[in-house]
Amino acid sequence: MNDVERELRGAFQRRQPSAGFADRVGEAVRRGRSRKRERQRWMAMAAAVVVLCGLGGGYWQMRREARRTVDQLNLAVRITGEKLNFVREAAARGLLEKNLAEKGFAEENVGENNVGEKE
Amino acid sequence: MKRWILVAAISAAAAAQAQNIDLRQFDNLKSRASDTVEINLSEPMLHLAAGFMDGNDPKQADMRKMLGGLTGVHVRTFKFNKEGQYSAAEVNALRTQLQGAGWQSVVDVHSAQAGANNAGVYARTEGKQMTGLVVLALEPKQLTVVDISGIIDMTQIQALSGKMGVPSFNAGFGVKAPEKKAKE
Repeated sequence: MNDVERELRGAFQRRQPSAGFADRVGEAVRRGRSRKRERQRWMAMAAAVVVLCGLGGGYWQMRREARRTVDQLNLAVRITGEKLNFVREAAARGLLEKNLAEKGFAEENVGENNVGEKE
Repeated sequence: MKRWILVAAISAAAAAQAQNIDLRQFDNLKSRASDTVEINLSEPMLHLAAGFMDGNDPKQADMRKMLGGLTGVHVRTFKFNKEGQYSAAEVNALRTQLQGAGWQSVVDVHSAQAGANNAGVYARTEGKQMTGLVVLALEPKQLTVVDISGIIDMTQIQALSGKMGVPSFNAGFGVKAPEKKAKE
């Protein structure tokens, strides 16, 4: 038997593990599992935060869009109101001028006014 | 596949119906106008706005009620520095659209005099329901077109008069202004 064989035999010789080896292995496995679980928990929390931020951002965006729409709607109603007043005034003025023209007054201001109002 | 084509066609038809009239003809006026107001509110936007309104606030409740039936609000206002910046032909193209089926002229003020104001109110009705309203105001230096589509209740529009920054106006044409309560 040469030295190499002797060393190999020594290396592959069955040895009893030190006391508490099984407990240590079990503890390491448990710790590994617990760490994995903790990591999963953190991942889930991070995902929840991302989802909540996304939802909050979406809601904020929608709210901002809604406000902008309401502002535009107010402007649209204001313009509509102003123009309805304008139409009423123009119609009233036209009717007045037409009546005056029929009676022979202020013909120079009447021109070819043609007003029709339908109920 | 056929189903998707059908859905797309129905959506396109609905979108086309949502706008009463085609206002694209006025796009070229933007370059001539000194001030332009362009408002395009589609049905989803109107519903979104209505969803964020407080139904318990009487002022917002009126607006919310009005929005309930609307499918579109489109406004174009062009202000010009001098007269004669828009042609009768550009306006007549709009008037032609308003002679189509379902439309009727409620008020038409027309003057051939130079510098005179012209105006018109047109309504589209389906049965007893007003489903479209166009207000056309032609001033020497300003042109305004308001196009409202959907189920329109003029009393609800009138109810907004003097509220939420809207000046008092009279929708008229058979619509009475809400009575003001006497101060005690």
